[in-house]
Amino acid sequence: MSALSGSLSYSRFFVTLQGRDGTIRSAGSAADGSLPRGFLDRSYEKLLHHAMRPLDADEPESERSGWCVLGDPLDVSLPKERVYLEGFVNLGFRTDKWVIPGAMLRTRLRQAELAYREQVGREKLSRRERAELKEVVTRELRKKLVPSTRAVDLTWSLDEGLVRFFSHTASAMLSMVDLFEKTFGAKLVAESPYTLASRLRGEDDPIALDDEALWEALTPTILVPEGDA
Amino acid sequence: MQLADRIEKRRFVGRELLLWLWMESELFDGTLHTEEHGAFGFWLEKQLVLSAESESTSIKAAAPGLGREAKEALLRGQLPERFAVRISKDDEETSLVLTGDTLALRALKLATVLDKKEEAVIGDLVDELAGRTRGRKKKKAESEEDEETPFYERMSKAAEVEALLGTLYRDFLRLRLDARWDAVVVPTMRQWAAGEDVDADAYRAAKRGKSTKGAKGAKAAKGTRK
Repeated sequence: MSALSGSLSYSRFFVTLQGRDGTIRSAGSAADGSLPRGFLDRSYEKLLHHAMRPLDADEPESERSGWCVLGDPLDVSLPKERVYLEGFVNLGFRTDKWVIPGAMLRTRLRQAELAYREQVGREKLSRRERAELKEVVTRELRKKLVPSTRAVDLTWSLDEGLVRFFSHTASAMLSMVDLFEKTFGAKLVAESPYTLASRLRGEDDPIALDDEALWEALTPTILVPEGDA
Repeated sequence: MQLADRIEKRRFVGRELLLWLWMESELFDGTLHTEEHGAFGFWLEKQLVLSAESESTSIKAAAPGLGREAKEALLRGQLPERFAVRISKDDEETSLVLTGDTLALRALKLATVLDKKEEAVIGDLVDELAGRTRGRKKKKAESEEDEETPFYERMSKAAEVEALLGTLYRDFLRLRLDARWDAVVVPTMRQWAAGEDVDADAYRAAKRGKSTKGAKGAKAAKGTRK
């Protein structure tokens, strides 16, 4: 999932900003697509607010995502000079998750249930008691493990108004889009045949490539008429 | 219609782009052309996946689009889902996997990376034939060099590839949203898929013909199709 080495695999997202009048415009692609003055300075504070905070075994969350330095998942200090670079905002999207092996959890839970049954002198435990025991055991095991860490590189080209996210995993994309919007207050629109068309429109084009009426009239091309296939 | 619905319902256009690129690449002997980029090499390689609903055909070959299997899949109603493609421009070679539904780029090997890898492969073979075992060391060195490739150069080259593909997509849309799609492109596609001889020059001239603005002409053309 790296932008820095090997072959590149990434999803593209178009950055859109909502104006004061409520209009949505593409950031970076149009003549008026520049970011509002002071946008990056203001967003840096929010960026620090959404920097990755490593998981703690005593916290209830089993998973958390946040920003880190691109290419360096352990650096969550996000120094400005490593984030904003010559027209790019470079970040790592880090997700930490507690992964307790199922067999380990089941064994430890069975032991804990046995001990608890002996302590209270009952054969059967209520559903609530079992849930509480599971919570206690889970926290105990988390203290003996380290969370799994996954980081995906992200680079926002400010001139192009384009975010390249080096993953195609749907869950990672959804979480990233959510965090990006919370951090920068800008919407991300995933690239698709339809959304790309509006960015390709040339001034000398005889037809508007994103003309809604033309797209509405499109039906899939059929090479072989029905019955002949 | 919500944006999300418009996006989902129109994903087929990306697959049709792949189909058009595949056909043009074969008709024009692996050389495509755009106004901005001039002529460049563009051909399918290694893998081609076609699908329609639950049916899927996956072809792995040096030139996966050339065989009958691929065309037969088209004739069964399947469209290209993704293919690996090699682009050769200004003595630089780039390879990538292009996905129709999302137009996402995967496994994009930029010119610098490709050059190094191919050198390494040739070097490894020579070493192997000579009984030497330097291959692994060379690969390690290559990977270190890869990591040092400046980030901006990689992004800049990726943007160049995207720009080239964007121009191809724009040229495709100019046809797809025009009456020439049904009048010229689709009949040619049918001939090509059926394995019939296609007059590439005539096709080139016809697709460059005067644009008929709007879908009205397209509908009229549809009405005359058998």
